[in-house]
Amino acid sequence: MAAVALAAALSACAGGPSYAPDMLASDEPVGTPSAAIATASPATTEATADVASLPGNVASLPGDVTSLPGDEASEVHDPMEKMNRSTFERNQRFNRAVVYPVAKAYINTVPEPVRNSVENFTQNLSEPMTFANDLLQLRVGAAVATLGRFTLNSTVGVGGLFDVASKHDLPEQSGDFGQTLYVWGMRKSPYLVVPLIGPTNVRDLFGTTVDVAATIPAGGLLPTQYATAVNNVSVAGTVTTPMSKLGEADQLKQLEDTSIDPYIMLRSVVQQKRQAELQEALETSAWTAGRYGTNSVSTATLLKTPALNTKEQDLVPDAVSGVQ
Amino acid sequence: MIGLKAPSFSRAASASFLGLMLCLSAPLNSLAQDADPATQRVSSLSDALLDTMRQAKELGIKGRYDKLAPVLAKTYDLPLMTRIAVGQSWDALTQEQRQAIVSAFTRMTTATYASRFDGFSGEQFLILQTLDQKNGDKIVKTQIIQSNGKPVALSYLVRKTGNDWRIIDVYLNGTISELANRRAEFGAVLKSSGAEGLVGSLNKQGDKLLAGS
Repeated sequence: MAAVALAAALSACAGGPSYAPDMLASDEPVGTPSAAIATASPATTEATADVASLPGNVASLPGDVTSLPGDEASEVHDPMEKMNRSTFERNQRFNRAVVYPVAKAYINTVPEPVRNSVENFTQNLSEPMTFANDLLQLRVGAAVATLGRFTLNSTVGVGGLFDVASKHDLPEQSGDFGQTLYVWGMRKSPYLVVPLIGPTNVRDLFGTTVDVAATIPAGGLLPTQYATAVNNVSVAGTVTTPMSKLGEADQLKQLEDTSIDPYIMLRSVVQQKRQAELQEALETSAWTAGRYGTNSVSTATLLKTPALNTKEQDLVPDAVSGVQ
Repeated sequence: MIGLKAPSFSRAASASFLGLMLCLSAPLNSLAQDADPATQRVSSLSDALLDTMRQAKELGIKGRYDKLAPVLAKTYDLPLMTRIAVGQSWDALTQEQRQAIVSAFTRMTTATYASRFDGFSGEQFLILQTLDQKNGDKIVKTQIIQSNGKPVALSYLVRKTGNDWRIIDVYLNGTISELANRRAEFGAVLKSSGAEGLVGSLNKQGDKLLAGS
C-alpha cells in the first residue's frame, strides 16, 4: 500500500510544484509560538487576528444554522476513506495488542529523565534536516533558530541528550520536506493512513521518504535516518502515532477512549495540527509571507482556523480563512 | 508646588504599596479573577479541576463525576457546543432529539473529565493572556505545567451569553479545536446512523468512561 501511495505521490509531483512568483516578498516575522505566549501574567489585549470568531450569536441566527470556522468534516480531503479506515482498524488492533502494552512497560520501567534524553537525542539528530528544509522554504528565522539549537544541544546538551536550547528561548522549529512542498505550491493532498506508521497524507509521506533518503549520502548513519524518519513522521501530523514515540501512545489511547468515531477524531486532530504547521511555514517563508503572513502574531501559532466551506463563509464574515 | 506634589507622591506611594501587598498576598488566579470575567471563568475551572485532582483517589470516578458535573455545566455552554457540533443537521431534528443529544454529550463530556483528571502529581495551571476578539468573544490562553515540567498549551474560547461568560471551545496546543473535532465526529455518525445512533454512541462512550475501561 505504501508503494501505491508513493506512486501516487510521484505522479502528483510530476505536475510540478508551482514556485511562488513573489519571492523575497517581505521580511520574515520573527514571532514564534512561544514568543506569542511568553507573557507570564494575565493581560487583556486586542487580538491581531480574529482567528476564532464564530457567527455573532449562534442562538439568535434566524435560520438556526450553526456554523464553525474550521468545519473539519468538509475540509479534509479523504478520497480513500474506505481503505484508510480499514488500515486504521488494523493499526489499532496492533496498537492494542502490542504497542500499548510495550509503551506502558516502557513508561513504567524506564525513568522519565532517560525517556526525555532518548527523545531529545532523536530530536537533535533530525535538526540538520529541519535546518535544510527551513532554508529550502526561505524561513531564515526558523533556520537560524534550528542551527542554534543543534549547536547548543550537541555541545552543552552533551551530544543532544539534553534540550538546553528550549530553556534559552530556542524552541523546536518545524521543517520537513512535505512542508517544503506545501510552501512551493503543492497544497492539496489526500489523507492517508499508512500501515503501522499511522496517519499522514500523500505529499507528506513522499516528503518523509525524501528526507530519509537524503540522509544516506549525508553520513549514512542509521540512527540519523531513523531520527529523521521519526521526527518527520511525527511532524507529518501523527501527534499520536505510537510507532514514532512510545511515550505518546497514551495520548492515542485517550483519544480512542473519548471518541465516538476514533478514525474521524484522529483525522481531525492530525489535520488541524498539520495545517497549523503548514500555515506557519507559509506565514514565515520569505516566498509567501507577503501573501499569507501579515500578522506579527501568526494565526497558525496562535489559533489555527482552517478554511470554511463556501456556504459557511457567508455566515462568518470576520473569520480568517485558511489558505487552501 | 510642594503642596500639590506631596499628595500626589503620597497617593502614588499608597497605590504602589497597595499593589505590592496585593501581589504578595493574592495568588495569580485571584488577580486574574479581578481582571476579566472570561479569565475568571477559566480560572474557576482550573481551581475546580485542581481540587478534584487532589481528591481524585478518595472520590473515585463516580465522585469526580458528581463533583465536576455542576462545575462543567456552569463553565461550558454545552447546549450551544452541541448545536455547533451537530451543525446544519440541527434544523431537521425534533426537540426531543436535540435534548437527547445535548444530555448525552453533556454526560460524556463530564465523564471524560472525571476519567482524565484522576490524580494529582504537582501539575500547575497558569493563565497567560486574554485576547479580545472582534465579535466580542475572548480567548484565554493557559498552560498546564505537567509534573515533568513540560508545558501543555490550552486556549479557551469564551463567549458572553446573557450576563454570563461561558467557554464554547478548547484549543489543544493552541491549534487543535475540540469543537471542530466533535463537529467532524458528529457529522460522520449522524450521516451513518442518524440522531438515535449519535445518542447511542455518546451514551455508550460515557458508560465506558464511567466504568473505568
